[in-house]
Amino acid sequence: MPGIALILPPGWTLHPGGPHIALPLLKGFLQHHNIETKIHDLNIGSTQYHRISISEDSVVTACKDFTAKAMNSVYFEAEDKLQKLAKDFDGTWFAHEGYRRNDCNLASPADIESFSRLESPFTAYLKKKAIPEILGQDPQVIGISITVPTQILQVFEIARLLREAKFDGSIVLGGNIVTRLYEDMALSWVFDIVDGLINLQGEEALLQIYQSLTTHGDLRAVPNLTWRCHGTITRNQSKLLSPSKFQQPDFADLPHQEYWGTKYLTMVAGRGCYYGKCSFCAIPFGYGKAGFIGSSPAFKVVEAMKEAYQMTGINRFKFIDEALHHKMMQDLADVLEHEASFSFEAYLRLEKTWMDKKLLHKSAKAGLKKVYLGLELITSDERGLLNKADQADPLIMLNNLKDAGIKSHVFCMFGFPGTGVKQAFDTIEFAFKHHDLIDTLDIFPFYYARHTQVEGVSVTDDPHHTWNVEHKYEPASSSTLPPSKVNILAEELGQLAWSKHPQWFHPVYRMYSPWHVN
Amino acid sequence: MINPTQQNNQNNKSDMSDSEFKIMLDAMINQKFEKRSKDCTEQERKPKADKGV
Repeated sequence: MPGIALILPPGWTLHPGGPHIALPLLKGFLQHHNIETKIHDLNIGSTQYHRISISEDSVVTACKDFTAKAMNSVYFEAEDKLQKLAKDFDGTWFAHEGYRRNDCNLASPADIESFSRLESPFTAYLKKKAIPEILGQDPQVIGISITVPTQILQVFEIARLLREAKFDGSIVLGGNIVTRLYEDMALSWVFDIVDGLINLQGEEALLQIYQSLTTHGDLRAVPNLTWRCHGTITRNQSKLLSPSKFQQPDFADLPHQEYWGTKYLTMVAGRGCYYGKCSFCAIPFGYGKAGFIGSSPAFKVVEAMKEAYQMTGINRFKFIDEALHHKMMQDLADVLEHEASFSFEAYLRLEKTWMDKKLLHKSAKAGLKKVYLGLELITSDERGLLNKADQADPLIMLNNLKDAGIKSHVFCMFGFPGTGVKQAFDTIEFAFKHHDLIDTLDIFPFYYARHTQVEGVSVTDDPHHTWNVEHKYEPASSSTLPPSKVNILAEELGQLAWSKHPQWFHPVYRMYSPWHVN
Repeated sequence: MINPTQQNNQNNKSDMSDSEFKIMLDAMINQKFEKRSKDCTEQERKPKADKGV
């Protein structure tokens, strides 16, 4: 029976060793409701088509001596091929940042509308391979997920090509970017190409769209759907997915051996961020007002890990919970410490509960290899402006993690309004002093994410750039750095750290690090 | 020695150009940390990262 095709468009990062979890979660839900669903990962597919990849073997070999030169050799051999393809279409294609067409502002719907009519580095792949494969399934509904802005241009090219290929079923767009932009995306020209925009979780919307189209055709009761009803753009009622309806990800259909570097699968326990109050962070917005919609029980998560392992042969997992709760870790560890076969990594908040050595050793025994910590800035009065409300001593926590055999990644963010050069330098000094406790590190400049409220700045958005996911701003007080200086601060300290610890930043090392012993 | 606390206040002044700000940071880096590595790392291309989530 014809069903649903789910598409991840080209433009997402190519670094992960496995698929984005959004579509496997949707497939798991839809298959549970007996709807035949097939996933098409056109992000990795577009590089497969051009035979561009970074193999696990090459990553392991490059990381034997940890020099920037060895790791660069592997990395740029692949990325330079992407750039060569993009150059023919007046664009750039970075392995991590995705494809951008020069002169096309991804925040401008007018630019997207016009540039998506042009050929791109993806056109040949889409026309000759991807679209014939998708339509060969004869789906009734095609759902396209937009997870980052660098996919938006390709989404509309794909939708146009599907229509050119005479697809007359429903095309709906969803994903994090649609949730963040759906009010501004509800434009007449958008609905000339696609049939609906789904904000928040897409599970029930896709189910009900499919059921409606195969029965009465009335879409008015479909939750979270914006659509054009008799010429009028209509926004249906919003509804969050209830934890009782969570299904586990279904990783069938995906080319697991084609992802770059060491292979792993994504997994989720809690959906959203249980804290959700950091001043700078827009992630909770994607999960409704509370920023969190609940967790699956640990035993269900472990069941999903086992099923995924049986299906793919991959026993490494990256938990994509914005912050894994210590109670969930405890529960997972209770089960997993008796299952010697799994390895996993997770994001944690710097909370005192994680200073518990016993919990860390138990987690390590259960397979926890690496954690990702949002330090942002080393402790100071000014760090309080970020409203992280985390009180673990970073040094003790890093020491305890190392003692338990768990690697640490440290996120740093410089230039948040009210913080500046001193806090950034103090943070870098801390990282250098304790470099033996840090496996990898990121330095990001502050940017003003849409759907966050930040004091000390004035928004200066261009009214034509309504698809922006970050605001343009200027300082509203003398204690705030302007964005140009924020970028210089992050760039200068990033270059300094790169010169001393290149493996902290190197994507090839990151493809290796969590899963291998240095 | 440049005092970072003083610089934290100074650098937020709107009358400092971006190029002056960069020069100031370079000077602070050279004073506060060892000179940047002279090995090949500095000359190596740095893969482009995104801005996080």
